[in-house]
Amino acid sequence: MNKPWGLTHGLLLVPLVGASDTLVGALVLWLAWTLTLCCHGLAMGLVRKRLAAAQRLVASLVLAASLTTCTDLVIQAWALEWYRPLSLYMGWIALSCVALEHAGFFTESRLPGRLRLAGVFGLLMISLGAVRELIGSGLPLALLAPGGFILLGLLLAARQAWTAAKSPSTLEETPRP
Amino acid sequence: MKNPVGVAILILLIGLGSGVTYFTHLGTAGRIEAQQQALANRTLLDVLPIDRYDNQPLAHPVFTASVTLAHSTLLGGYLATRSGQPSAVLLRSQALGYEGSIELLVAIDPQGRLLGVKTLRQAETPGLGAAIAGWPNAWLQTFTGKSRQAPDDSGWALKKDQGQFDQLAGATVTSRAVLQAVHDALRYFDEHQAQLTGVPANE
Repeated sequence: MNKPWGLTHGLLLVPLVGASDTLVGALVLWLAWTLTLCCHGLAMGLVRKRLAAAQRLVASLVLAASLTTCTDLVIQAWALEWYRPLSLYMGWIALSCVALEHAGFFTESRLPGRLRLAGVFGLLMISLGAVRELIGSGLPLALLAPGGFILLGLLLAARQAWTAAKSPSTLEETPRP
Repeated sequence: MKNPVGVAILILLIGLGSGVTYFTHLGTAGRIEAQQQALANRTLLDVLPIDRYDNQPLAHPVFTASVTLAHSTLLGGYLATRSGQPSAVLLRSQALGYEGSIELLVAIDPQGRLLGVKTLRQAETPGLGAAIAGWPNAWLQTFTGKSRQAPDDSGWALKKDQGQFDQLAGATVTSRAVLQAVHDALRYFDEHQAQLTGVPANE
């Protein structure tokens, strides 16, 4: 990734730390996010060329809001038990869609780029969810937001160490996930 | 805007979005309602042993307007019956904890003994006061079997306040709030037994 994705990718931190305290919760949120982002990207792809720049933002807002509301309602209807702790983060999905659209994520990155973002985010969500659920019963800190931050840091450090150990020559250019 | 096609597409999108959202809402509203009811039933009723009732207690409210007590507020009361005989009264109580309000469900048998207390909602300090959450809960079980008469009013306090109950370590305010709410509920039951269970108190 060549562009500075600071803000849009920083937004992913919100659910990464907040919604990953149980494995199933993390999985549900990730699935909802991937699905909504996919539909949003497809629908925007259909109309983007015919819209002026200002209209694009409005279209993206409308799409993201309706898609997220529908996903929200469907999750409520079929998985209310898992919806409760996630309700706060459902609105964030719409924000994430609009921010990614605004930053040009859908126009600039082709399929591999999208899959990569979804894959990395999903992997982090699921591993964080699993680790936090596993040690949360013995160590309540792991279930809180600060504990989530620390674990995320440890996870990234472990990955960094692993990559460095595997190929010491490319240490300088280890990509940031 | 100098782009009539774009405006048309926008209007179409807005219409489509609202329409789809509206129909999804229509389609799922009934199911969401049912799910919420089922979830509420499940979380409420695990405070009672399953063989203790054979009715739908939540469909039998004994009062609906909230009642303000000395240290807490009763938000609702339900009657559980077994073969037509009252077997338990469930009181939803709200008290002020350390961080915010705590909602408890207090189950009392017709003789005025406590069957169980369950925390329905709390926002206490994680690791300290939040130990009142979770089910079954070891600390809340220390109240089981107690009534308004045993121990007497002076016994219904934390050991720190010359009572007879242990407190949660590091969470005096939370423990005191829960204890007082439970005591309030028992006192209310004692004073309104006939009204709550539908049978006169046996003196």
